[in-house]
Order: sequence, then C-alpha cells, then structure tokens
Amino acid sequence: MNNWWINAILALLFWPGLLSGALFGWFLLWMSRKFIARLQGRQGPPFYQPFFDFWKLIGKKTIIPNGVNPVLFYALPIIGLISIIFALALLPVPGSSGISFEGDLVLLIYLIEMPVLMDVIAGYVTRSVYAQVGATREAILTIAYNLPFLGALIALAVRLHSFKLATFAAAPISIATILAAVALFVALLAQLKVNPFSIPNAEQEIVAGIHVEYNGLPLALFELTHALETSLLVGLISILFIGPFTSIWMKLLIFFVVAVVVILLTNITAAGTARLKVQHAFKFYWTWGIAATVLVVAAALIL
Amino acid sequence: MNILQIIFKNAGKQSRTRKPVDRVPFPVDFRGELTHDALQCTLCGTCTYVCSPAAIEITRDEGDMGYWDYDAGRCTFCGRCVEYCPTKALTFLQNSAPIVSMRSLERTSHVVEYQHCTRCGATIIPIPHETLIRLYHSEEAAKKATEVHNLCEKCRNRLHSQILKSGISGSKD
Amino acid sequence: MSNIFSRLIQTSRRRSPWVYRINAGSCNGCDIEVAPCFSPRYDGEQIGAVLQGSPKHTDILLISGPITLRTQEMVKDVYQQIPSPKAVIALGSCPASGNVFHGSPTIVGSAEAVIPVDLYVPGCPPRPQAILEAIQKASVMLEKGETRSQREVSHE
Repeated sequence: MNNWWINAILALLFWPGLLSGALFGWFLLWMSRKFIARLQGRQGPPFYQPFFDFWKLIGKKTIIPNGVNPVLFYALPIIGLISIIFALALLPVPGSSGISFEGDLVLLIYLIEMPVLMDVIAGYVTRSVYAQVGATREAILTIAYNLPFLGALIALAVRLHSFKLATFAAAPISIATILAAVALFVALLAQLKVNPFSIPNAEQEIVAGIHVEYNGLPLALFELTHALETSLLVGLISILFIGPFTSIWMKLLIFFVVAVVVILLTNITAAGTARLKVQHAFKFYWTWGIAATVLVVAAALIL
Repeated sequence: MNILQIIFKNAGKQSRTRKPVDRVPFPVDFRGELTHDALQCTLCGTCTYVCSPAAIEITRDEGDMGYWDYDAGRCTFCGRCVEYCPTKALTFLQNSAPIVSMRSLERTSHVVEYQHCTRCGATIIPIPHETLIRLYHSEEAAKKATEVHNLCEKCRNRLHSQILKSGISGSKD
Repeated sequence: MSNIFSRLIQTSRRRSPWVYRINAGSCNGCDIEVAPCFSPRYDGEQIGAVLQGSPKHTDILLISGPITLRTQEMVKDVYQQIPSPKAVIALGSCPASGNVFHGSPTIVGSAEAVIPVDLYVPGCPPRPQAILEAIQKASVMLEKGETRSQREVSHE
C-alpha cells in the first residue's frame, strides 16, 4: 500500500507527470515554433524559449479584471492543471511507475476534457467579448474534434477487449493502430489549436481568444497546462507504436521519435494552411472525422 | 499545394534571418544621424527656414556667440536642411541616431563663436574657407577673397565703393 | 532559494519580451516598420520577442504617433492594463515631440505627458533594426529593474 502511494506520487510529479511532462511539452512547443519559423524562412526562437516565457509570466503582477470573482479567476487554471497532471500520470509511457487499472482510459478521456472545459468557463467569466467569442468557438470545436478522437480510442479498446491504457501500449502495431493514430492526429490539430483549427485563439480576429483577460500567474498556469496537454496528446499517439519493442530504451526512443514526427506533421499542416471558419471546421470533422472513425472501427472489427 | 512547395523550399534553405548584431548596411545616401559642424556654420538660418517640423533653432546672441540647437526627436529626417545648407555644415551620417532613454539626450546644442571685423571690430561670422573655395573655384582666388570676407558688411561696402570710385576716377592702384 | 527564483525571473524577463503596439494617430510609417521586425529578415522571435494581441500579455509597449486628443485616453488605458513590470518605447519623432504636427490643437504632442516613456527611438520612421535594438535594450532594462514602471514602484 505504501509502495503504491510512492509510485503514484512519483508518477504525478516526475515521470510522466508534472516535471517531465512540462519539460517534454516545452520541448515540443519549442520545436513547433522553431519548425514553423524554419518553414517560413525565419530563424525561430532559441531552445529555452517556452521555459523562459513561463517564468516571466510567473514574475509578472496579476491584474484581476473588474467584476470577476478572484477565486474563480485563479481556480480555473489550477483545476485544469491538476486534471492534466493526473491524466499524464495515467499515461503508460515506458518506465512509468504510474497507476494502471482497468478502465483508466475512460478516466483519461474525462481528464483530457477538463482543461478544455476550464478554458471555456474562463472565456465566459472574464467578461470580455473576445474571450466569449473564443469560448463559444472552443465549445463548438470540442464537439467536432472529439468525434474522431473518441471513435479511434473506442475502436482500439473494442479490438483489444480492454479499457486499460497499458494494453494499448503493449499491443502490436496493426492497420487498425495506424488508422487510429491518423484519426487521433486529425483530432490533435484542433486539440492543440494550430492552423487550420486555431479558431478559438485566432489572434488576428479575436485578439488572444479565451485568455485575453488572463495575465501573470494564471496565464502562466494556462501556458503550462497547454505544454502538458501537448505532451499528453502527442504521447497518447506515441504509445500506440511502442508495443512490439521489448527493451525499455528502445521503447523510449520510439516514443520520442513518434512524438517528434507527429509534431513535425502538425506543423507542416499548420504552416501550409489558413484558418478555417468554425462552421467549416465543424463540417470537416463531421464528414472526414466520421469517415475516419468508420474506417478505424471497421479495421478494428474486421482485420 | 503550391504552399507545400514553398515551405519545403524554405525548410531546405538556410534561414534568411540576420542576427541582431549583423546589421543591414546603410544605403549610400541614407538620411541617418544629422551632424553639424560648428566651424562651418555661419548661423545664416536657412536650415531653420526650410525645416518643416521646426527641429532646428538658431539664437543669435548680442554677446560673442550664437547657438545652433537641434532636436533629433522632432526631426523628420527629410534632408532639406542638408540640401539647402550653403556652407555644407550639415551632413547625414551613415548610421541611425542613437536610442536614448531621456528626451533631453536627443537634443544637440552647438555654440558658434562670432569673430571680429578686421577693420572696425564689429561682430561677424565670416564665410568659411571651404565655402569660399567652392565659390571661387580655386585656392588662390579664395585666399584673396578671404580678406574681403573677413570684414563686416559696412566695411565691405566701403571697400568696394572705394575700389569703384578709384576705377571711375582712373587713378592707378 | 528565493534568490535563485528571482534571478531566474529576471533572466526570463530579458529572454522573453512580448510586444504590444499601439498607433496613437501615427501616419502608419512606424507601424509598417514594426511589421518587418517579425518578418524572416529580422525575425524578432530569435530574441524571444512576440507580437501579442492583448495588452495584458505584454511586457513592452511600442507607441507610435503624436498622441491625438482622441487616443490619449486609450493610450493611458492600455498602459494601465499592462501588468508591471513594463517598458514603453516611443517609436520615431512623433511620440517624442509631435514632429511636424507640433503645435496642432488636436494633439497632445508628447507621450511623456501621458505615460512614462523608457526609450526613444529617433527616426521618421526608425529602421526595423533600430526597433529590434530598442526592444533588446528595453528587455535588458526590465531585467535590471531600470524601467520607469519598476523604479517608480520601488520608490513608494
């Protein structure tokens, strides 16, 4: 029992939880900024950029907008952060001492939704028109991108007869896995809010989207949540590919390589496209998302 | 899919970014920092007259010096003063004016000292030698004219009228 | 421990200056020169500068234009919305003195009269590299606590 608690705390705080998740997420975010810059012929930010962005925001004074409940103002990013840390701890990355039980996939899905929900509420409570528009868009987009996301995960679960993430990580690579990874990737574009689905945080039209009134520490927590979200969602795709390997170092290497490839593909899409309108994004996910889901389910059941 | 060609071409090439220290060279006729040579200045006031934002101010004191004041924070860098300066006392440097943290650091104030007429001792600012060379097209002619131009306006008038009178009366020398 | 953290925060202030730009009645010349700062040629991102859409996310305020009577309230408003520490850079001659508009009844004429200004970039308009240099200088000022927002708070 005692051992279990130590393992759980290790998983929450170090690997794959807060610390390594943040470092990995910052690395991935730096890589996406650098890669987009290189695709545009620019130099791009230095390696440590997201790290210093976070610490600078910590060091700034926080202004609470007029008429906003301060408790709510601080609580929303903290709840989002805590749920994403718990979700990360559930991720069966190689070498994780984490918690694993039957049905943790369901918990993971719920925990992934928490920061999004907090974002939407944050957009509404800060009483800014731009944030409200952003929150509306995010809420609409959530309904859209969860279709391929949940479809792919459920299809895999049906195929493996288990809702346990560890079985996902141990399963061999098949056509169903690859199709599921593609469906997850399509959902990832909207989950990370990159072009063409950077609709909720569209800088050119709605200033800074949901976080327009957030500043200082709460904004830093939102940024940290975004970094952790990035490493979680990219890691979720990566763990589908580490099944066939036995050595832990090999598993880690494959995990890392797949994550980097996913980020590179995301950013090629981001650099090569323009922002869609929210109805077009919705239509995209409800046609191509359904198509991808049907394909994955078919592959999972038949092959 | 044209965009994919463009972004992959960019990814293949070196980035086009210059480091902050690696400055883009300034063009030859760049209107950068304005410099004023107090030794060449005659406080004629042409620059003040042509300056549209009134960045240049000239004060002619009753004493033995005048002031040429310039405010880089008010300048449009149009270059009219440099174009119209008769003595070429104003020039543009090939660099931007420095970034300063206080408004007062943008201001330049130069003192132009008066000289005295060699005959009567009245305060004058003689035409600088370089300008005379430009006007008379030769070193010697300029040197000859220096004597005349070191006089005040009244003395010069008197000198010229004497020369004219002697020319009419026909007396030699 | 707290010493390490304050050192880290100071360094990060230099490393990540986020920029917000406000046009207070400018002719657009300075604003056009700000855009190349974030273009492939000059790329402000290499020093960590990012153009932000919201003043609440900002560290450095770029202000251009002679502060017309209509914009002066907004300039003040935007300045107050920026969480401290913050630096203000006046771009070009207009916010310094009013430039050719000096003496017009519709302008305030000097940004200094409305908000505390930390750096003046001469030029009409200044070159993109001068603007980048000013952003770098301002971020160093933020690190050392030399901006007017920081000094005036510490005096209280």
